Amino acid sequence: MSYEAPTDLESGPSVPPPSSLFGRVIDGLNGLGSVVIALVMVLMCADVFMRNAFNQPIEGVAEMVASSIIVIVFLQLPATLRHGRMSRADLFLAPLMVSRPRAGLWLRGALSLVGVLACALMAYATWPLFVRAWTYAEFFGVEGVFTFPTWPMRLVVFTGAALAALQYALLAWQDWRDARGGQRHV
Amino acid sequence: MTPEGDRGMSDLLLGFLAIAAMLAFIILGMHIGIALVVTSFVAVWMMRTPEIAARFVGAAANDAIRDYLFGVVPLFVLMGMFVSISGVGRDTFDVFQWVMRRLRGGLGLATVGANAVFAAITGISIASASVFTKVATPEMIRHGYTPRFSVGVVAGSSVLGMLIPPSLLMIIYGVIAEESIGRLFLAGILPGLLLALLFCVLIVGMAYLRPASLYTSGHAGATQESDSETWDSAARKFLPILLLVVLVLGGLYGGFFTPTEAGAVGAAGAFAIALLRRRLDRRKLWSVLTETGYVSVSVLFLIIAASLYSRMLALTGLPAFITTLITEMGLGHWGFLVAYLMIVIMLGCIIDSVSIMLIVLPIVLPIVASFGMDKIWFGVLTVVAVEIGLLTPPFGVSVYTVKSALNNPTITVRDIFAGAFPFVAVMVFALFVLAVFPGLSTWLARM
Repeated sequence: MSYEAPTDLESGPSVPPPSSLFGRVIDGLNGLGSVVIALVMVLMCADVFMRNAFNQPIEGVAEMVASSIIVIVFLQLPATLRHGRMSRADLFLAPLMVSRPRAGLWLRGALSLVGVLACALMAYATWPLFVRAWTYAEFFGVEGVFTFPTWPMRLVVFTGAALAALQYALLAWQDWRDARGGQRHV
Repeated sequence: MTPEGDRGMSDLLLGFLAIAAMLAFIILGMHIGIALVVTSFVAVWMMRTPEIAARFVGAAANDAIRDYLFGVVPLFVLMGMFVSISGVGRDTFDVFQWVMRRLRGGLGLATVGANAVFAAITGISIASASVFTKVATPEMIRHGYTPRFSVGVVAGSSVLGMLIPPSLLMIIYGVIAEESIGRLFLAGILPGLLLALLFCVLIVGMAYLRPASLYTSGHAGATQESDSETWDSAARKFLPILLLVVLVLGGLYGGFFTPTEAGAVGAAGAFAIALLRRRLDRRKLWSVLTETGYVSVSVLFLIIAASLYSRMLALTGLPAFITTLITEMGLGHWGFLVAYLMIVIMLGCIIDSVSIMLIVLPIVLPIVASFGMDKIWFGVLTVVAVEIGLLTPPFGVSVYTVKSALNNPTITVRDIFAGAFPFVAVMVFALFVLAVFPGLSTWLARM
């Protein structure tokens, strides 16, 4: 249930078929985040090469990488939730899901509801930052050498947090539906 | 802390309550990052206003990881994934198996050795644990080793991945403690080699003194180990991993690039190896990238949440209070160290390694500073203690990784814990040695 979960790379991504439009959007953003990771790798290698071979570093790589890390996190946060890969302690919940599945589902749903709260809070707190970046055309980097507007990054954080809140709401709803329906969720 | 005594007192109380609530939520099974965000938000709200608390949250989400340094997390994870898929792990194991073939307990030694070398190109224990569970365990069982020992040695030696550089845990520690990651990497080398050596001594000792715990048949005779390699084939198998180690560590310490860039270059190198060996198609490449995403996001999200939590703690004045308390208690720095390591090991039975460090370090690092302890040495001890927790029942995470990578219902979680136990005992001994001889950790790092 965490980043220390087993990873079977041989069998390909364990992505359940995107059953809904929402799921497809989430996995799409996740893919975009993966592309950003690959780009960061390529960009840094190019910078290392140019600097050591031709003494000609690429301007702005450090700034771009710094901001892209946030972008990666918020592009992929909803999908990480969707695939159950956020870290949590299993010592109480996992046995409960086995011994009293219905109570376990209720509890997990309630915990997801707190997740809705936390992610909505992040989105709410980021909105003013986005508005400010947009209105004042904020940028990062060094003027005259390399600059990039700040607002796209803020927008990604806002959207990612909002979608994560929705994803949590969906998880809570699914658990409670299953709990009421009395089915075991596997 | 606020100037008025009353206010300061109630803030302290709030800090304690926040920690208690957070632990309760985590034990119930709330996502750890969410538990940190929510309790910190409520605590800051109580101390200040909801607007300020929201501003804290906004700052954490938008700026806490907006640093070039955090690029190391996805890049080293990506490198680990490429290395896992490239089949380099199996080759390394083959070579060590061949080298150790005449020794008693040779396959066990080969697993430790291969893990130690593999650790030099991956920063995450799970990469080692899942690769060697699939590569080494079946081989050992086929050669007549007991399943318990076969899984135990894999679980135990996967810990080397976190000590021998590059290491994700060292990176996290460096970020929180504001220590140089390059130095921390160096600090892990001797302790990692020491631990590998102790594991080997343990295995040979077991093979001679208690062969029944190693071999299904009760004695060593039945395990004929194959002589399938030649110098030539072994060298060819060993070359890629050697090149990768030289590329990453050589480039880093040769001053050609920073730790973050070492991650990028290493990932590119591992990618090239996987590609040249035709282990990569589009589907696998995609699964490597998405896996990397999941792993790095859960780690980075924890870091975001923890930055909020440590700002909240600072606002309550709790770390300063605990520091004064511990110093005045006359516990001394050894007493403090023992208590700290026990708490870390206990937490390791419940939650994952990164979470432990993010939760505990903001509280203890001021104490470490006030005792004038060496922060690099303290980091090495922390990493070893965290890893001990991950191998300890009831919820040692590494053990569950081995269990699910194994895909063999006849070997239970109990077997793995039992098999790993001798290795845990050796790690506790190593922790003791490292605590008593700080030079082992600091000598290379402070050169």
